[in-house]
Amino acid sequence: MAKTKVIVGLGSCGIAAGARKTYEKIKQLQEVENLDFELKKTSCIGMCFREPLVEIIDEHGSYIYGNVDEGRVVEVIERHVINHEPVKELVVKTDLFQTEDNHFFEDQVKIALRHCGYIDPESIDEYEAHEGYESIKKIADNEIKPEDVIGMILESGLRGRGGGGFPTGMKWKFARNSISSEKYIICNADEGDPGAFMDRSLLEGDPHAVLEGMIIGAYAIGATGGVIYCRAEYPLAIKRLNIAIEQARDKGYLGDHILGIEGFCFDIYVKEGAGAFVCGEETALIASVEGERGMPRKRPPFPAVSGLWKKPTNINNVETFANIPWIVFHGPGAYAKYGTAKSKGTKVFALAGKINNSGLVEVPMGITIHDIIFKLGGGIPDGKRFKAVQLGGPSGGCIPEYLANTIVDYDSVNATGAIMGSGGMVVMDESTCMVDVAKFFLNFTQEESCGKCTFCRIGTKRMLEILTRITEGEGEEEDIEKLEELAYQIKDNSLCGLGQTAPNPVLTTLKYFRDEYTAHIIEKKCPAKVCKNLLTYEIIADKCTGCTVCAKKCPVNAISGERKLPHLIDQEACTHCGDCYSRCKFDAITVS
Amino acid sequence: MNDSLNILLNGKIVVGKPGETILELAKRHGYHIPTLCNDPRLEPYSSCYVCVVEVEGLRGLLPSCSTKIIEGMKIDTETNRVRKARKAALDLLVSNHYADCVAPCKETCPAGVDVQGYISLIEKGLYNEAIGLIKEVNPLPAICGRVCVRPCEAACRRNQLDEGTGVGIDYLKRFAADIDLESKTRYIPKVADPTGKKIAIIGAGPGGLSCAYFLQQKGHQCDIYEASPLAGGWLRYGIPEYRLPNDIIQKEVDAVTELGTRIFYNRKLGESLNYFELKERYDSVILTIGSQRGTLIGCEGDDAENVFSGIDFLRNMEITGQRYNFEGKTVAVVGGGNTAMDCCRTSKRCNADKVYVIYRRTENEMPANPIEIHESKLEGVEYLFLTNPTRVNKKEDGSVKSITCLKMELGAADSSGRRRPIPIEGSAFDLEVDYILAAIGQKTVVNFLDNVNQYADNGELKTNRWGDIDCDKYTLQTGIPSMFAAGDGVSGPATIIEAIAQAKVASLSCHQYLMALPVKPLSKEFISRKDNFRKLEKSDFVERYQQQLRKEMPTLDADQRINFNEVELGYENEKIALSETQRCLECGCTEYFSCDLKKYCTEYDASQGKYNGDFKEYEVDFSHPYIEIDNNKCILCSRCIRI
Repeated sequence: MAKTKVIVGLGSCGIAAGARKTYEKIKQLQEVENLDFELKKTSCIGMCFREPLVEIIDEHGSYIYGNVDEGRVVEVIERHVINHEPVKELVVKTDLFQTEDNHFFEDQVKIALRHCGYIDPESIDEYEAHEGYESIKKIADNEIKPEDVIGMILESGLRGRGGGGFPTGMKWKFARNSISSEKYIICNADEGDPGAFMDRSLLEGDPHAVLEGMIIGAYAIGATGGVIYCRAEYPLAIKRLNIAIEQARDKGYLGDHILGIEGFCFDIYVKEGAGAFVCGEETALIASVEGERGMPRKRPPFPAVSGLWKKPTNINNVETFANIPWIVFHGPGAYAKYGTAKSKGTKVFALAGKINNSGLVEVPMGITIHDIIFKLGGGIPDGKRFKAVQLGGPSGGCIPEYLANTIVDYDSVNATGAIMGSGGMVVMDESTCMVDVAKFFLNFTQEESCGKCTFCRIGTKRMLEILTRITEGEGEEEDIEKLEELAYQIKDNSLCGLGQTAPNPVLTTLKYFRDEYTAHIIEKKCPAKVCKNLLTYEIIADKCTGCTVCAKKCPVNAISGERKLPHLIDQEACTHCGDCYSRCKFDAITVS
Repeated sequence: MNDSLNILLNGKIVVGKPGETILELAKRHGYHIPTLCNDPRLEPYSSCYVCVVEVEGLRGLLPSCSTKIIEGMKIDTETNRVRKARKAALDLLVSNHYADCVAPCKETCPAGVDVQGYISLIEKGLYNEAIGLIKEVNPLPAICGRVCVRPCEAACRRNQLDEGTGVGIDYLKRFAADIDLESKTRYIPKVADPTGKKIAIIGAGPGGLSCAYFLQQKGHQCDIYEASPLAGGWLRYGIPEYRLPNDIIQKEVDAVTELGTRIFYNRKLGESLNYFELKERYDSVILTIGSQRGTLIGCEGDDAENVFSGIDFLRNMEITGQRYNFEGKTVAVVGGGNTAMDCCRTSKRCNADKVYVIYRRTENEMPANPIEIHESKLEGVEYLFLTNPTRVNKKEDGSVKSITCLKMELGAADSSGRRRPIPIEGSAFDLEVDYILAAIGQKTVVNFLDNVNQYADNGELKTNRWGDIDCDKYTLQTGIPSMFAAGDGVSGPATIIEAIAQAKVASLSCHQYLMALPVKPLSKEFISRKDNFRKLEKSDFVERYQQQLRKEMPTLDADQRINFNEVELGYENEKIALSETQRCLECGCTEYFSCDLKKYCTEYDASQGKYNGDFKEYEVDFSHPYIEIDNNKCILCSRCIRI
């Protein structure tokens, strides 16, 4: 009988929730009690909302426990490992019985995330035990030609998962066709969208899959060198990548004449980025790798012709690479089985914002946004109404509730004005102000603008100033027109994708929530009651008991009144901080 | 690779060279595409986005400086969409361009005299050149150097640093002009070869003289017809000699006639000069007739003897050569403008015992030049502010006995922005006076209208609702296409420098008309202004510049003034002038004439205020011995670091 395994999820999300302490506690317990089980580490399985997660695999099967903080360790281990009685109420996922969270996985298809949360990312052996490096071996053993590898990728229908959606096979073909003795393949791991963490989870959870994807890509295009450009804010990912690279070298997956393929000499190193958002743009990324300031340059020439060190270069995103070995191993047809006519396979999304189950999901293309939010995501917390979802981060746009049946597919999403993006999905409910959302994202892109071209540098700044004015109650009627005019000019006349897409959050919110803009500008009201300057706090005399709490706590002494008599807020003095509103126990304060 | 590419450029098939950018291709084919960040010696960079063009089939617009042509490309460099994008790029760039194209002095000057330029030439001792520069737009520097109302000095930024004493711009102009007039190398402009065209100019005041000066240089024969026996208009007949000596007027009149212009005296249009004659003999006519009739007080009894309009008082003395004798008399001057000042100060010089200026508002609202008010007080003039005459009381012989006045108080601001005076009930009082001089306004006399219209066959000369000559606001062309107008006759009573500025406009229009060109004004020039961003304050200047108060020009002692000798004496020597030139803060940009940003902003009608918002402000870096880095002006083209 196999030994019982206890696996602790140690992705960044787990660690943040206290998984390291959970792990230490289990280890301590094992040593003190001299328990006979195998203690292992894995990464994020996607259920960020239940971290720390501990999986126990016994002779019956797998049980994933949620919310196993340090304090619950003893109970879980004692009951399940020692007494062989699973703590059913804490199990969040198992095939053996129904759990509350089972639906989280029901519609998921794990291809890119196939190993995440299941294998130890720091062990090449575990990776190899799960089809790992079988794909490159298959290529070597069957002497599959580079052109045929590209053919497979083309046939699979895989499109760039970084957000652009350009067919990966085509990109490889261009790079393959560029003639040069030196070529490069770069993995873009400069994940920067607020609320997005797909790439981080993948790199932390299955670094070898990304390496293998790159090795296959290198073989296909004829690359001599590889770079993983990863932001320095992902220390765990970088650490695990470097471990994986070292292991792959030791096993001969990297180096000279890989797997005996004559002339296939290829190695990879990790380049840490300082975290500039614009370095996710491929020409800026290349500049950064070369040691220059991360500023984009005009395309064409495209990197496939002149990229890193002016040599042909192919750049793909982390998730794209993670899909490659699976496609080669299982065949393009298996991959293309999932998805829609023009968008094949699966897509990883990071669910964040006003949603019950925030975390990472991988869904087949073609699923509706509504299903992701309500079936997988468990809907909106506190019974609030779903309002919109932001796709594609600051480059994307929002999709309103009435378009929630839009399917996940590059073209369908684009038709709404949003973009698929790299997978950030920020859910908003009725308490979200859409003008504020637009301001938030524009503030992000404006701060991250490298400042090279006029429209992105000054244009986004002017847009942000207008939005700020609107949210502060100083908007003017012509502001909407001015915003639109600037937005279209910036889209038309910016050097790189950052500028070209920066106005999208404003344009989509204007498209779907124009009323909210006019409410701010004309009526000087924020319907979602978010924009402080537009709020009015008032005391309902009938309900006020004269307890004086609000008056005592008001930071600007704007509330006056006699004890046991209704109080009054001096609107001139009020700074709209909302302190009185949250302190009143008698619901005697209204906000409008 | 092909050695030639077929490109459709603005609808024409052209041949491009492989590797060429759109910008290079367009240039070879005569299409100018504006760019600010590109330099042919450097790798393309594409930061300014002013050079965008439209390429069929591509999303967005493309920077032509870095986009290489490919076979079959269809390029448009001048579509509306392209022009709008270029304008937007420029609008955005200048919205963060905290800089002055020109100094406030030049901007404020109605004629746009390049003050900073001529001060710099004076500093170098190049007086003739300085006058040459002034005379490009103002042919009367010695006159203006004495009597201009000097809006430039009020706008001067030195005021903020030096307790309201701007640079002595007018003093310097006078200084250079006086030297130039006496110099053997006096500035004389080049006159073009005769065009055979003839222009009749009506009136030899500042407007008429200026028109003649500008147009004679273009090769047109200018003949001035003057109603009076001498040239100068109000310069001679209105401004007293203690401010503007007649010989100075004559010298500058001579500097006009020496170019070939003739002046015919004692010829008054509609009386001793028939429009029929002008129409027959001349290709064009310019009316620079001034505003000739003084307005009376308009109250009961103002027909009394010894009540004059101020300008008649001044003109009579000039025409007759006889001074009034006010010995032992009391004179009341009504009004608060510069004519009132001339009247009161002249009355003092006519030995008046007491001179009152009666003005219905306070000193702050007086339109007169502050220096005039100051000097008049020195000379013993007394002021009755917030006072308004309501009746002239006559003696039995019909002459003035006294003037009844009401005290006033200031109410709300009126349409001119000045607070309206309101009478205080029961405040009437009588002031015994012997003479009343009304200096409260002038009217344009257009009694020649019938004569003109009788013979005009392709249009009609009209007056506007104020009784002044009606003409196009921008070209100063009248209802008769060959007839133009400038000066007080168009604007109503105004200043010399405004008349000169209008003369420049009318001259350009007249020249265009004569050369059969479309008559249109110069296009509006784009000017970047720090004032568009924020108001400059004293703190912007202290510690950056040394304080150095203006050295006032020496004047006659007050007790030496009962005569018509010039009061202002001119700078004693070059050293004083030099030290005054060094007070100039050189607010205008040295790249004014060569700046591409300005050029394109003018071409695309960019606006500094369209996208106003937060802007960057930097200290100017003077640390390098030769290079001054003013990052306020930087548009981040990066050319300097790419070289």
